[in-house]
Amino acid sequence: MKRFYALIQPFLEFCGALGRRLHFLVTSLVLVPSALARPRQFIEQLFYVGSVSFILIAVGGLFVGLVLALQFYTALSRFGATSSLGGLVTLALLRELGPVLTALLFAGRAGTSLASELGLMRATRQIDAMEVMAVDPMRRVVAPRFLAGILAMPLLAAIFSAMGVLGAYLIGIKMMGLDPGVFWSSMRHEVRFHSDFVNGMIKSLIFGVACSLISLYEGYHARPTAEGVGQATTRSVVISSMAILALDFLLTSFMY
Amino acid sequence: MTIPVPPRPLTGTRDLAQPTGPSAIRVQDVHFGYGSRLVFSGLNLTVPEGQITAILGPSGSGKSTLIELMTGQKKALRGQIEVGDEEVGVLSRRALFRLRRRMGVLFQDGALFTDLSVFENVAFPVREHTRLAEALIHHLVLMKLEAVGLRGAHSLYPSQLSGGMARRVALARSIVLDPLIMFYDEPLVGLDPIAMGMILRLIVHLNRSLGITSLIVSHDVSEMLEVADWCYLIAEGCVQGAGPPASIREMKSPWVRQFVSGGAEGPVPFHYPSRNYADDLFGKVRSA
Amino acid sequence: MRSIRTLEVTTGLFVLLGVAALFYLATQTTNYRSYGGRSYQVRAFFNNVGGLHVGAPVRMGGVTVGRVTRIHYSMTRYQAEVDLLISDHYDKIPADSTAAILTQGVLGEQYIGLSPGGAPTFLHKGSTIHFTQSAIILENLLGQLLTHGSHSGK
Repeated sequence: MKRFYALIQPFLEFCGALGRRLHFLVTSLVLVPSALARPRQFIEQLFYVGSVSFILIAVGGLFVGLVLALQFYTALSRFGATSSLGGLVTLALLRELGPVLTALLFAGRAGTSLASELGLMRATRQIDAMEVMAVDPMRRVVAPRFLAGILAMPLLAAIFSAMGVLGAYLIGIKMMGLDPGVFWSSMRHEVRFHSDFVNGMIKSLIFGVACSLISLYEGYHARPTAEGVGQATTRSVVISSMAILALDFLLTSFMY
Repeated sequence: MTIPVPPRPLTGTRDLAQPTGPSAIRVQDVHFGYGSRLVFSGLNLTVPEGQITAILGPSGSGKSTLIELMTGQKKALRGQIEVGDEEVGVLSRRALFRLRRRMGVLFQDGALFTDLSVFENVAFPVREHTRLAEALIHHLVLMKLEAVGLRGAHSLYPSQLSGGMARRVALARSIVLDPLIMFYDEPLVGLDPIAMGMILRLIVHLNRSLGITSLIVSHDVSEMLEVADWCYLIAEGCVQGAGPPASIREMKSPWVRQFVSGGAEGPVPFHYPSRNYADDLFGKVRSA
Repeated sequence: MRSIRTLEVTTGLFVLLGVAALFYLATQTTNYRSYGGRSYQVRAFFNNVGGLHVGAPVRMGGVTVGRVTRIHYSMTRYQAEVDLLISDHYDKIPADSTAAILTQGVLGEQYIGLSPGGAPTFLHKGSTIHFTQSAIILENLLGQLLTHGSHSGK
């Protein structure tokens, strides 16, 4: 009996960890309307999440667009199909690279700062203080940050992709001298509104949920020591990144 | 849930007096522990209403845990804790929150919200729990800040405050909704004598002028014996001595004597249990 | 008070930029507009549509004027029926124009090419293109070539 228990212990622990995260997700989702009812805190968090990631995302998007255009140009010119450059870059950005890279950058920047902020609040007993003041920290602290994270992600992904398109334009037209008409019309012919654009945005919305949830969970349940906060921050990036890539595979296989 | 074996009880006599008069908090036969380590094994005490009660004990004796049990942040494995006429352990979250509105807790480091100014920190419970007009909140907050002598610091942020000031702001925050019971968790730790004196004066003042039942958890024996009306000494999971400060000083129990006088030797040994010293030095070198 | 204003303005700016990027991507880089813009639908029947698929462009002289919205097999005519959505800008396409399924490049995507006829009437909503030319099926072509080659060899 004891041996059997030792055997299934890791599995039980895994189930427990999963259950706690699901409970955290459901609680956060239930509290979303209350966060909307107090826009002040939610706007503050949106500002925070948006402003810390904005420059990173915009510059990142531009560079990814530049690189994609260069690589695709080289590859396409071997098939004599450089006229599809605009469409190909935009497809790659909207379907895959925009949502995924934005989420990874978000996890590294906004996610870690959310985790360390909550971890610090845990370590300095601010969360306990709220509890004994009869204020629910899930409602007051977690819910507005969660909502802000969910909303910020698609907006950031859109900024990333738009900057990427700008990058492709600079390479394709300004540097390689492609015809602007061909470049832009290939985009409109190749890229479909529903299956490419809308699905990409749904992806990034789901990444937003996953990323914010993981960072907030890790911070909220950090061990209340300086070391615990550091670990929570690291775990938030590692787990978020893995979750994003795994979810990306799942979503892609379901959607397309 | 099985209850782990209680630690070895301290030998010697115990003087366990009972406070007279109405009680605000009753703790009966409380057991609590983390994993296999038992913090409390059969703790019994009552906190008299409208008085200052000090809970004294060495570090790691679970004094702060006692506050967490009383505010319902943690649940006892066995036994009851009654605050007023409600049993904390069985309350729903909603009822617990209602009960907590009548309580104030001063945390060890104040636990101020670092992203809010002093004014907003004190205003926080008011904004969360009431729908008072902004002008009224302004008056209320400044009154409480005046009471702790920090009205002039209302626009500062927690990072700009000294340890003593932070604790006074936290005190103002915990009394802003006029609680009936105040818990002080190690209120004197890490303070210089002047700040210590200020906090003690505030605790006494709040108790004497407003009649707030006060429970102080501390290991600063001499200061507590000065201000408290009633003292409990806890160690090894239960109460080792109880009574008014004068009687604590007179107690015969060797452990209480060691704790109160701060002796290095006594029932609590200076040395951690070890092998014979000579054996350790001259005996065979143990392979690690 | 000033910091609160900056915060609100910056947040607003961020949201605005995000929404603008969303809008830009949706309308300028995808085929969104061709669904929303004014257009009219015509039909064409082909013996064989080859690799043509829904969404393929309809071109006149290389300029895209519309796209394929539906391909199915008509059980009354025993031919493939293709619905074409043509932009209202191009409302003067002669009724006797020819529709051909062509291929872009050697192995490129297939599209429908319209060659204008000379009739005084124009295609309008619901009309049918009568002159069509099916996709060139490489296998058939090769087959013909081989039979032809063996005949001449005799």
